Amino acid sequence: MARRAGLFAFVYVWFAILIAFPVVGILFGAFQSGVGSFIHQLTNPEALFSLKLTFEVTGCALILNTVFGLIIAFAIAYRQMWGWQIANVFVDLPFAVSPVIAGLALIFVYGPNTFIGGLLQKGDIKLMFAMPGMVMATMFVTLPFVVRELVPTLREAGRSQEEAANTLGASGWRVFWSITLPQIKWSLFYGMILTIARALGEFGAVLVVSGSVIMLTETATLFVYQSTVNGDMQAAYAVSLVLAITSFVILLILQFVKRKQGVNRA
Amino acid sequence: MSKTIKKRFTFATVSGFLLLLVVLPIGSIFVDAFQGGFHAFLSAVAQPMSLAALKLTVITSLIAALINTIAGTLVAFGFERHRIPGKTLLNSAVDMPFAIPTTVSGLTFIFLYGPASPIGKWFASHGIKLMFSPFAIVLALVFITFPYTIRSVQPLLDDLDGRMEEAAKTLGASGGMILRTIVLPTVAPGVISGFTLTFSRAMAEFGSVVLVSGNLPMRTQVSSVYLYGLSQNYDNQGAAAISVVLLVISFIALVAQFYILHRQPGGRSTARSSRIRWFQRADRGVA
Repeated sequence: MARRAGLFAFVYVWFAILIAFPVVGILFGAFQSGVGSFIHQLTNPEALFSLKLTFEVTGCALILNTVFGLIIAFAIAYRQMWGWQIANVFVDLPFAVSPVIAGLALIFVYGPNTFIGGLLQKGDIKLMFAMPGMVMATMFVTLPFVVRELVPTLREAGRSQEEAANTLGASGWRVFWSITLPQIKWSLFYGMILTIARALGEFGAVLVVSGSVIMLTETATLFVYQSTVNGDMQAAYAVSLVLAITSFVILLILQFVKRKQGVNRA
Repeated sequence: MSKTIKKRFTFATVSGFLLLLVVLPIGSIFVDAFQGGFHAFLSAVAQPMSLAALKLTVITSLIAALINTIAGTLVAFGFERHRIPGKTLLNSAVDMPFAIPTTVSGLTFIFLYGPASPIGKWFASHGIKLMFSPFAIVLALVFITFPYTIRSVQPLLDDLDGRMEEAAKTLGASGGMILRTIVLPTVAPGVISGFTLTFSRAMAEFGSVVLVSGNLPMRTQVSSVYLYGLSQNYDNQGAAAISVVLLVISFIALVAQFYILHRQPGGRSTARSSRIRWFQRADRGVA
């Protein structure tokens, strides 16, 4: 009994120190000089721009990774394609790569002094240190989420219903909308939410490929970093709180979706 | 659309997409690292600052992994074996560090323990510097990797068949013996993969560490920050060389985990299912 009480005490203290205390810290930091100052910091054009840019980059990466994620997941789950095992390994690779390295890797291929970057520059297309590069970096780090959520669900669902619909004369799109999608919608949604969460918080990769130019390529996490380095803590706390609240809402949605999925994934 | 056209379209899209986004960039890291030959690679890695950063990264990551493996296993036991009061709330809170952007976590630690905070001031008056020190790095890493071990041990404890323990008890086994012979072997794969995941993730961490460490070369600068600095100074070959070392270390950690898990009887399926679960739960981190 004493051992059990000790274990409980440890768990509570551990959570208090590492979870509760920092969460309270974010709130206190943002409001330590009053609500007025918090709002003032948030309505600063630089802060507003950075938040807007973060949501734009997240939106672009989400759409692209959902579309390509669906195609890749189908190819892997139904073993539709030559070399699907290789694709399966490459999809996981971004998990193993540090984001700074990911950003660097993109610069090495698409940066201004490279072969591809040079060709693009002739066509007046700038990928790195601009919006497309930031979207690419975000896509790189969030690539596995949609695919990893979909593959097991697709395999579990199987193809028998789709094949039945096919023989009954339904078109490819019709089969997708009325049979495949309802089977996988919660897993797809879960993968998309994870993508959003990860994309909003991305820092290392975006820092390297964006150059972090104020009012041009500075996202919210970059703004928090720059403000902290410049000693403008109030601005950093204010934007941090917005990011933290967004993450918290995402966490709540995830809990809800997990229940909907009906699978207790630990 | 005919079947072959559809197949070709899928192949072209998937391979083209992965080639442009993943394969070419990661491949170019390796190409750039060995641009000036193997000797240039070695000399970039053997710089005193690079070696100091690498040593600090490995040591702080190992400490963080050790702390979180022990604490995480205990938390998982509290959750699954003893039905701790408030489990639902705590269980949702486990994912908090995944959800919070790493820069925000770093900033929060500066607010709580930095030189301007009451706690930081108190420690400073006793001659202890909390932030901008190796301690701060370990603290940030422990926070960022908080969920990994908990999430890899939990499902194994959940799957553990209570009848086996009851059978052992009726046969006269003591509590300690049941723990040693039934419970611990069951959770061991989860503990091992928790440790490896925590370690790999800690090695890669950048966002929170760059804020809390102070980035003092030779003292508190970790490898990811060092290689970022190199890339800002246009030393692409050096940055690529450090990247290769980091990638190889995480790769070795994963291979070691694979071998340890496969040596154990029955380890294979549990290891695989906990890996899959982890991927499904998905790594929020790596920022």
